[in-house]
Amino acid sequence: MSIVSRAAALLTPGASPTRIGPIGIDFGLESVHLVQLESSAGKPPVVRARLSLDYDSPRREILKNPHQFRSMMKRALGGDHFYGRKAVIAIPSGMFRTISINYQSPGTEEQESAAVIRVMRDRLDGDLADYVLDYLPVKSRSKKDERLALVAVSERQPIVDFLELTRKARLNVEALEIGPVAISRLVGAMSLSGGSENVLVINSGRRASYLTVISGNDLLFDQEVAFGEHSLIQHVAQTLEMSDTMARDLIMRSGVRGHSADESVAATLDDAGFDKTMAQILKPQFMKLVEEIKRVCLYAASETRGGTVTRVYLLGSIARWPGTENLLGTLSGVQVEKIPDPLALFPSDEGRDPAGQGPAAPEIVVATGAALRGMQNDG
Amino acid sequence: MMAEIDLIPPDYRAWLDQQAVVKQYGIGIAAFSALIIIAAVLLGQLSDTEQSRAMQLKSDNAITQQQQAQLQTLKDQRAEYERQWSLLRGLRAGAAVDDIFAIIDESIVAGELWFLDWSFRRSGVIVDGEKRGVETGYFIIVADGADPATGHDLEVETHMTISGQANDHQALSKFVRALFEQQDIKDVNVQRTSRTDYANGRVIDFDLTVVLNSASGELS
Repeated sequence: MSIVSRAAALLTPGASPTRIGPIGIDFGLESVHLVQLESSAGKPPVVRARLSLDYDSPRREILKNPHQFRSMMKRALGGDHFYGRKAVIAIPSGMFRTISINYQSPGTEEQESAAVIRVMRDRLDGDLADYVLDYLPVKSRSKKDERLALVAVSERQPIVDFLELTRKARLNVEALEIGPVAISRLVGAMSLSGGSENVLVINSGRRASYLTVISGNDLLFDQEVAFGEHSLIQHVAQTLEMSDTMARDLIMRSGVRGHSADESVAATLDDAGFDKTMAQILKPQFMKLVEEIKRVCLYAASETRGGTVTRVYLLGSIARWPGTENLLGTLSGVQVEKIPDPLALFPSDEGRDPAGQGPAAPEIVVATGAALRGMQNDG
Repeated sequence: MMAEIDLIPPDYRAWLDQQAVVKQYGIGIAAFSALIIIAAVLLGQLSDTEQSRAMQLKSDNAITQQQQAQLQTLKDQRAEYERQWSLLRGLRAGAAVDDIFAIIDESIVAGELWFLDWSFRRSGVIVDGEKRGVETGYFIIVADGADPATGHDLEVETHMTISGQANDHQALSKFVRALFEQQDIKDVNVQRTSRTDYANGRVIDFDLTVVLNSASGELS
């Protein structure tokens, strides 16, 4: 929406002004992703701005250096038409963990919080005051008083340090949430028309992956599994007796099943049957993930009274490997697909391509989900 | 709508809220202070402008007073010049000497009284300033506050002092009375009389002063 049309909308009697949502920020392993949505009354949200900015140095160092962090955020916010400094930030992975707990259902909300705290006091080491925790009650599908909750826990001091880092970068943090919640918010928005289906999201990382089960709009389950890109590459490198870099390059070119037909190198590799070879090498490793997927599917079925996982979305580093979704689908027997372009759900106003970045990468899912926080009621 | 997770510690959020409130108050106080400073500067400028205007008016007033003082001085000078001019004209005016002698001659009885000496003087005389019932001379009014020497009215008088001899006092008396009867004679004062004996007889020596009326019509 242009400035003139925006001003005209504001001056037109009875017209509702455009509402600009918070900036969703996700500090990924290699890049920081920012998305901001905006919406007019009666219209679905559209993308106002989005940006992915690669780190100059490792994320760990940036998150320890206020100057570097501030500089990076300044560059990121200046990279597109971001408005304001209000942000919903997804805590970087490794700074939190999620725990599923069962607790006896009390009456009021305060009693429920107290019950969760009682359970968590037993589950955590040390003083509970040294932790920050929040929980999501999962809809009870049991007739008993026993309830299920997904608790996000983090040590207090790293969280406060991180918040101070953002404050010094002049960010107004509206909420500090976790990736799985942002993902489930986005998936919930994707499946609004599809009813309350069960969706499994596999968010793969370098050293670990996260399996998140979403039932309708509820985050049902989130679990970390020891399955990451790093171990897979190492396995390929050892098997083929090559360096990790070469192994990674080879996987990216050949994939684990299929390739792009217009790439001559990939075509040559295909002729040599490299994709199938790679699939054979990686199959035992992927089977570990498949086992977890099956276990999660069983858990979802038990918690949803037999409801099956109808869709598996794959995102993260492994999702970039050609053919991964096919391999996983074949091994697990469940339809696996790469998560659709998250920004396709919120087309830019007037066809504008924010910052001219072209199609969004799957990595921007968490930032989009965070940006969606508080915007869902608008359409 | 799904529940949300927020891992911002409540006490940290409360601290942030407090900081925001303090910041808002700080901005408010800073804005108010800036407003006060701007107002003070504007009032100061206004005050300076008014002060310079007052100074200008005071300066103009001083110039006016100076001009008034100069005007008064000029008026005083004019009055002084007019007084001197009047005196000068008065001194220049009056009856001609020939006429005076003609008047006196009309009063002399031949053979009974004769003159030995005479003098003629015309001068300004200080008087009490009140105009007399009969116009006897030319008055010059001097402004108050002027030099005490010039604070009195001046009358131009024409005096003729006559020294002479008469056969007797009757002849002298007749002469004086005749003088009095002349319109142009203002006053006659017999200053001295004495008898002088000669071998062939006795005469009366006398000195008298004749004050003539000033020619007011000519002077004014």
